[in-house]
Amino acid sequence: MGAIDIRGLTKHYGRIRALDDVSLEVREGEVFGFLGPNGAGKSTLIRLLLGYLHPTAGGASVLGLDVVRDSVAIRSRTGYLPGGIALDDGLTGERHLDDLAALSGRPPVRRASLCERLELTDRVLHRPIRDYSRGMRQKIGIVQALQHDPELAILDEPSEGLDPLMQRAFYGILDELRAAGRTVFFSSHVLSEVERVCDRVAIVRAGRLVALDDVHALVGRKRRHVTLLFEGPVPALDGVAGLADVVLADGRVDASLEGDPRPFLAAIADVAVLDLVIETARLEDAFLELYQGEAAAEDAAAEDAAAEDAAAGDAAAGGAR
Amino acid sequence: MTRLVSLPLLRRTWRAQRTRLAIVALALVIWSFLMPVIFATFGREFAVLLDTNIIPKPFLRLMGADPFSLAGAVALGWVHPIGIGLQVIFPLGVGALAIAGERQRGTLEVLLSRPVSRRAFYLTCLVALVGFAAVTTLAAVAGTVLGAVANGVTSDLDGSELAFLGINTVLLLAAFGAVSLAASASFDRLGPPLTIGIAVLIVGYLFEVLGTLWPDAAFLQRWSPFHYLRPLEILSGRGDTTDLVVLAGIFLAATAYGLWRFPRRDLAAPT
Repeated sequence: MGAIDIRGLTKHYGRIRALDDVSLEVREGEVFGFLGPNGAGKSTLIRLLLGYLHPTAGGASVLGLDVVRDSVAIRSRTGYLPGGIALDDGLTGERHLDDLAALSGRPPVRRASLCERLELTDRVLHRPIRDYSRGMRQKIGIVQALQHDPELAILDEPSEGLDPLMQRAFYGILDELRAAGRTVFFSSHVLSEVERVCDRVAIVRAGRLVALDDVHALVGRKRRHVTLLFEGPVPALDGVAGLADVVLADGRVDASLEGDPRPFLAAIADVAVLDLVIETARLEDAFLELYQGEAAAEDAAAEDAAAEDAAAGDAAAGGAR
Repeated sequence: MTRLVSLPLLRRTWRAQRTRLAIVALALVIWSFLMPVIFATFGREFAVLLDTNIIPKPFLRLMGADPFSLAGAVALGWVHPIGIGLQVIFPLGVGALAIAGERQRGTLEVLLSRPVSRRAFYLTCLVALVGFAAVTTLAAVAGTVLGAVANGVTSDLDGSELAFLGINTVLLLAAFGAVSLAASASFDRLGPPLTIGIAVLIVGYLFEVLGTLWPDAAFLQRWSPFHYLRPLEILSGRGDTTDLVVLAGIFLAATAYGLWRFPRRDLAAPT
């Protein structure tokens, strides 16, 4: 059983499909990234998991508990950082953390270490939140979500507003959570950080799940550009696994490579190589490729539907004549 | 079993309102203190004035028919717009803020991420509102007693009648609070529940005043919550428990609606 088990989860607002038949599993102890641009359905999914929203269809369980029936029990074992967290401006940071710890019903065992890592000193914590910068508010948000050492942390855009040093400190916190066997469900549109911290990712587009895979596998599937400069005879590259779009010209080969590079390297083993560049595969590129592919497929489907409609219209007009 | 009321949330709500509550309670003590003072200072002179029939009868009815007995003076202060304004600040204002206000600010997100059910959240807000109503009512009663003691007219006050008046007042404020909270649970912005609460207050007050001044409009009074708090009758030993039942009915109906509505609502991400 996974930490989160989602089965055909659907949420409609009237005719708007905020989330459409999403199924996925988040395993215990993994850091799971949930990717998509603004409005793709990331926050909707999180809100369904925590009981803020009621599903239109499908269901989900969190830590083995049903998200509709057992919402309170789920929230007693999870920590949540909402996107763009709002805090009570009149309270001090410490008072805020105390209140939320009391509401959690669990002692804030991790607070001291979290505050230390995020450089939230006593002086800072004793100031009212109205005096805090956006980054400091975000730090309080991170601490309130994790201070009671939840089994599952659900973090919506957690590094938003943090400076690069604090982002690094936050990644360190995630590494600690992973080492302690905690599960982290992590929503973001900062792809580099997802690549840096997540074990697996799901990509959502317009409310639908378009990819779910290991980060490395997803990146590995991305087509990378290859440039080879050589002397001597032209290498035989036909039929090399993963290689496509090969262009040969004046001692230079340009191609795209997908997956394992070893067949390509074997094919050029006897070539007098002057230079070889295999572009680094990045999650960002894989994400864009997936998105563009999905968009093209949707456009083609829309065009087919329009053509069918037009043909049906012509046939009807012909019949009428 | 999920707890019905969250004590940490209740403490947080009380702490957030304690300064405002203290200010309003102090204002009510001072206001209520003035009524026995007015009675002791001007009561006899005004009684003579009344005997001349110089004040029109409808206005006398509006002032409680007997404004210059101690009971009349206290009753006048109790239903005076200033007294009512001070009393309803908390039920209407805090009731509207409790859910829609937190939602508008975005702070409800974090509170509801804790293991507190929406029903418990709602009931906690309601308990806090009833508590605020009890404090402001006690302040008004305390001011009245202090004023009576300071002016040596305590013999004109009856403890059981004051207790009846206090319970009746708490029930009226609780009814207002329950309506405001039910509206608060139904909206994402503060404007609509505040408007609904203020509309109930103003329309109810107008119905009561119109019905008092104009016999042909007397039928409107039964639709006003204020009609079910009659301080002069209570302090004259003619309090009617039916009034308590009606106000309790409004409180329970609004609470039942809020408890049905709030857990069923979708709380989409704040915009």
